[in-house]
Amino acid sequence: MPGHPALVAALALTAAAACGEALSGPLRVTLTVPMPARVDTSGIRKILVTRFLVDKELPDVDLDKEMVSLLRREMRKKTDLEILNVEPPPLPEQPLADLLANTGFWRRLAESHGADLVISGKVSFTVADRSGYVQQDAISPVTGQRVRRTVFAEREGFTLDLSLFFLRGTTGQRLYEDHFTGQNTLSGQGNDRLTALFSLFEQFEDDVLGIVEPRARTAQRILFTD
Amino acid sequence: MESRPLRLIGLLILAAATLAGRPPSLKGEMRFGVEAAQQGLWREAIFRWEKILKVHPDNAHLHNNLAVAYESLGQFDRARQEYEEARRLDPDNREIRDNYESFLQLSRSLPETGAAGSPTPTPAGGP
Repeated sequence: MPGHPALVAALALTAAAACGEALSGPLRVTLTVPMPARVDTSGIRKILVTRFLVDKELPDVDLDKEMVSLLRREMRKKTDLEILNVEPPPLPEQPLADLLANTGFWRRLAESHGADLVISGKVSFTVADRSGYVQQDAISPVTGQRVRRTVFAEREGFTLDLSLFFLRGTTGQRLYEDHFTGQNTLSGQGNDRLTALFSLFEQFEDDVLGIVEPRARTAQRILFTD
Repeated sequence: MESRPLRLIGLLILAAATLAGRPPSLKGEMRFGVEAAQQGLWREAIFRWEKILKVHPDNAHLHNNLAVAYESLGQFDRARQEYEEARRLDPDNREIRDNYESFLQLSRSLPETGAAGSPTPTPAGGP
C-alpha cells in the first residue's frame, strides 16, 4: 500500500475534500507552462550564429563579437542543438532589407559550414546618464526620527536592442524574426559595460532560447475554491 | 502500533465511500480539483471540474479553473475558450480578468497555431 503513490494521493485528496478544510476564496497557484519552440526545428541540428549588424555601440565594447559569443555560449549550454564553433565570416555591406533578401549569401554560408540554420541580427547597446535627485528615508542622528531627504544620485541607464533573424540553411530564406529590448539602471558611473550587457541579455534570454527549443515558463494564476 | 496506519487508511476509504454515495457537490468538486491542482495533478482537476461543469455550465469560476488547468498542460486553444467563456459569464470579475490578461501576454510567445497543441512556425517571408 505505501508503495502505491497514486492511491495514497487520491485518498489524501478525498480526505481533504471530505473535511472541507482551510481552502476558501481565490487561491494563487504557480504553473509550469510548456511552451513550444517558435520555429519548427525538425530537421535542424547544426546552427551557425554568424555576425551581427551593429547599430550603436559603446567605445570599449566589441558588440558584434560579444553578441555572437554570448548567443553561442548560452545556446550551447542550454539547448540540445549543435552550435558551430567557426569564425563568423563578414556580412556583405548591404542595407538590412537587401541583406535579408540575399538568399544566395545565406544559403552559401550555411552550405560552407554544414549549418541547418543561420542566426544573424542587428544590435544596439547604449548608455545614458540617468543621474538626478531622489528622495531617501533616513534616521536623523540628532533626533533619532525618520526623516525624508533629497539627495543627488548618480546612475547610468543601459539599453540593449536586439533583432534576431533565423535563416533556413537549405534555402537561405528567412524563417523567423524577433525583436527584444532590455533596460537596466545601475547606481554610480563607469559601471562595467560587459556586466551590464550580460545582465540585459538575461532579461530576455529565455525568450530567445524559446525560439529554437521548447521551454517551460512559470506563471501565476488564480483558482477559485468555490 | 502497526494497525494505526491501517486504521487511517480505513478511515480514508470510508470517507471516499461516503462521498461516492453522494451526488457531486459544486463546492466539493471545486475544492477537490484545487487540491489536485496544488499537487500538480492537473488532469485529475480537469476531470473533476469538467464533470461538475455539466451540472453548472454557467459557473464562471469553473470555466476559469478549467482554463488555468488547460494552460498548465499547454492546451492553449482550450484554455483560451474557457477564459473567454469565464469572461463572458462574469465580465467584472477582477481575478478572471487578470488571469486572462496574463494568459494573453504569455500567448504572445506562442507560434501561430493551426490547432491546439500543434504549433507551426510563423514564416517571416514567403518562399
